[in-house]
Amino acid sequence: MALLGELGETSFSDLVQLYVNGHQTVAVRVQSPEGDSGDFYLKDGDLVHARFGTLAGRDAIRAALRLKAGGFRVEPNVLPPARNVHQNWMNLLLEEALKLDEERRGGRTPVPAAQADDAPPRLARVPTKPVAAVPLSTKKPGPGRKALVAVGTLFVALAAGAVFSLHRAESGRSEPAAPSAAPSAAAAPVPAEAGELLLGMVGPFSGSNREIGRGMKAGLELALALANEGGGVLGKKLRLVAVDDGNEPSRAGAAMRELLEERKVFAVVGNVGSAEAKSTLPLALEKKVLFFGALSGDDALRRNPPDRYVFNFRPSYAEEAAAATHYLLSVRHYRPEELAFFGQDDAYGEAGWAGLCQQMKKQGRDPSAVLRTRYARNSLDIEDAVTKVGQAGQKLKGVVMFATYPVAARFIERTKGLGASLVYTADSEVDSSALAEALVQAKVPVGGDLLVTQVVPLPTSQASAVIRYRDLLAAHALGQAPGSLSLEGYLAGTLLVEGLKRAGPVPDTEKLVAALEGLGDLDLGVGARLGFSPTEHQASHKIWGTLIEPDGSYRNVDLE
Amino acid sequence: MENVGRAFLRLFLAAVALLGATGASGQVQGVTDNEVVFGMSAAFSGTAKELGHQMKVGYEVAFAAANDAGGTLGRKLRLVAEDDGNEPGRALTVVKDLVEQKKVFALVGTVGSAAIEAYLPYLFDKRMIMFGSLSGADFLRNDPPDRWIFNFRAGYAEETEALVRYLVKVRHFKPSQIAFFEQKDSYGATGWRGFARQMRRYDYDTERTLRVGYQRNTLDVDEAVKLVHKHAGHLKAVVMVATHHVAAKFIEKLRGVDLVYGNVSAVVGRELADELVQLGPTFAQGVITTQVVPLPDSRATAVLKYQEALHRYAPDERPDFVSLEAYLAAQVLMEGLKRAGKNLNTDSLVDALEGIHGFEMGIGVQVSFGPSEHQGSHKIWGTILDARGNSLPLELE
Repeated sequence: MALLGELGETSFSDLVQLYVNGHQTVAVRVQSPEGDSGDFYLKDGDLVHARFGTLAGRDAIRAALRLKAGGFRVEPNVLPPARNVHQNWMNLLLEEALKLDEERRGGRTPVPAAQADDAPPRLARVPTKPVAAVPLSTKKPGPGRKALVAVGTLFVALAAGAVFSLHRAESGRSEPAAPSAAPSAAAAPVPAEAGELLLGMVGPFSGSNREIGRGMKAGLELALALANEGGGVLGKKLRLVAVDDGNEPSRAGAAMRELLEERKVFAVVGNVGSAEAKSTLPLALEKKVLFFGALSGDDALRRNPPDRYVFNFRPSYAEEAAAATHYLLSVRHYRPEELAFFGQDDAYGEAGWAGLCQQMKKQGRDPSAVLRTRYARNSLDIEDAVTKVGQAGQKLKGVVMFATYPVAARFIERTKGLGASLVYTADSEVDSSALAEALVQAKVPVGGDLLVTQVVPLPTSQASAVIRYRDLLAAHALGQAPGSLSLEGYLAGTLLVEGLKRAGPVPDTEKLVAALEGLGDLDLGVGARLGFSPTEHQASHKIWGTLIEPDGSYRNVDLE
Repeated sequence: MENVGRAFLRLFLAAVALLGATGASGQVQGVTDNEVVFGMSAAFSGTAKELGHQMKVGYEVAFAAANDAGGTLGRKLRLVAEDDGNEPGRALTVVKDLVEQKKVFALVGTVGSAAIEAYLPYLFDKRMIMFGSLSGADFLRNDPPDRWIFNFRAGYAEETEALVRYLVKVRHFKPSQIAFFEQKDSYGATGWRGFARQMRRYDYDTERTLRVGYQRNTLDVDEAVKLVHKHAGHLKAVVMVATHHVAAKFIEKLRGVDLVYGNVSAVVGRELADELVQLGPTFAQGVITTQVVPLPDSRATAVLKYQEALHRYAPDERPDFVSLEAYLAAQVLMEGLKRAGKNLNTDSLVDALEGIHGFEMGIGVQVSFGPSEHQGSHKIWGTILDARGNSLPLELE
């Protein structure tokens, strides 16, 4: 699980070196004391993608190497969005060390200019004489400290790398025993090891939604860790590898291809996002790979009858919208003409609106009386919606929102600023604690007027499944606070593991589908029985209502 | 070589597991091969002392009968009860003493919602089971249920739901003709939740309900009485979530107004009846109370056994709703202990209790638990008082 640390204690070069030597796949996030942050990705020990603030590729690496302080966080098994570093780490480190040294001494840059991002990949072999360079630079009078450290690191790294390779070769593992510390940039991806079942995930691990990817992954890994502690599933250890799509639907397809074609994952689990699913799902269906427990309530993942390879844990957006609408109509006793809808102008918002309409019709009400407003995806432009709500004035009493949390927070702040006294609802994909925090920080008075529907119990619950989840979190994910997302990941992962256990000694996708469809009625202690069948590929239909308190916490309320 | 190594490893693991198992059973607090010790915090002094007393009697006679028959799996059951005076502050101290000094295995039959609320976080922290409390409060009935909390009885919200349903469906009152009278705390709030939920099923906006109340630990019902008087013209019934002293006072002060009064089980049928009878014959008659167990003088199998045990082990006690509830809860607990087997600890008991489905005692309802269900019974019985204060069965449906 994630590793946290201080760059003052472990330098960036040492940190990267560690994972280079281990041939590991990790995402390293660094943060400078000034607040700049960067993301660096190693794929099987090869540094392939770098970004720091607005810098990319080699410039980003250079900036990170110069950090004397700051924090880092390492997330294992996260694959990069795309390659933008085409040089071997060892060469880079060496060149940068020399360059830094030159700079410190006031000289010009002796090394060739940094390669542009889109420069053709240079298959940089490990130089046969890097060691020679070391005494050269140490001999120089008064080299910069950084250069010394970097070069020292190189020494250690080479030695460690050699030992590591030796060790690996001796233990007879299947990894390519690299002849030197640095694997070639063209190293073939390491497929799942024998005795291992590899699962894949596409989600955001950089950008503003990175906590969503992290939370989901952390939760899934708890379920896998629990299974592995018990010897794995039928002797196989479960491992999850994630690809960062940066929350961009356009990158999700490539990320998915990486998982299916390069990594050859057995199943895809916990993918994040509805728009992303549009490009990832067809690939899974085409290759007949299981698409399990995505973080999306989209109807495209919930066909009737259900797609054979698609299984969901969570209720649909429409179900959440219906529950919120029922709450406003029956618990709050508002009439349709007293309600508004505020939604993102895409599939997510459409699904919310459809759920609202269904519920209205079910209760014999007219949805056309509801004021419908929109905003553009990936924008904070809510002026039109705010104006419409303002024009409707005091007659409005409730708003069903299908918006991301920064947008929802601003919408609440702005409409309250107009003097409106409304009850707002938000769905479970809104990060409810982030939303509450944003409101409390903006000093927007709240209390009893924001209902967030949830598809998992409160992460602070004392229910059996939630206690187990928190115990596992404490044991395996140090520093990760309990949250709805990782709880959902844990529950979805638990169902998948249960399916795998029942799929037979040599699980293939067809057997797994059959096993999952046989999970009729499982009580994990979350308040609802969970299960699948040939005609039901959604485990849970249960929705909890939580109402915000003035301090930004939430309490459970009846939705019926 | 490898095989030998593996075989050795397996042997070693088996030995560790064995050690772990015996070690665990030796270490479980309050459990030995011969005995299991349970703790109970309740009021044995002050106005609520009768509740604590009856609760203790019910568990004790159940345990005594079981112990005479050899105990559960050879273990005798023992109850250590301490007086918390129904004061939240004192209750925490009492429970800490039970857990840390008396070294009890689990708590059973605790009494007093406010007191329980005070020590619940402590119990969670200790991961200790609390079984069969005399409380129908919502906070003991979370969704999903708290791992350590098991209830035998239905909740107050289910009782007020049943009362509203009875008044509307059986008595044919309109939702607007029913008022709500409550103690202003979590007890009243729980009752209101059930009341409102049932009203919503009749599409009635509870904003329009006449909702009146009194402060906890007072007898001050004048304001509530005044408001009911003011609307007496169109009211037919009041659903009450109060203690028996207050309920009696409220009914007394509304003399002359023709209303149906519906109470929940926490008023303790007999005590309310006694108070009303003392006021005069007209007060008791027609007052309704919902119950979470059958009539204590019923001839049902489980109730006969209860009467027998009471007669034998507590001959001075009269059959009573509260001691019957405790007795029945104890039967379910003992079923769980049996299923948990020799290796009794908190987790094995939780798992064993969660495995109880359709447990039949002969009370007209099967008791079931599960990982998502920690309340054994959802059944509500109706009782109605006659002029002399006798509880008679009332059909609620």
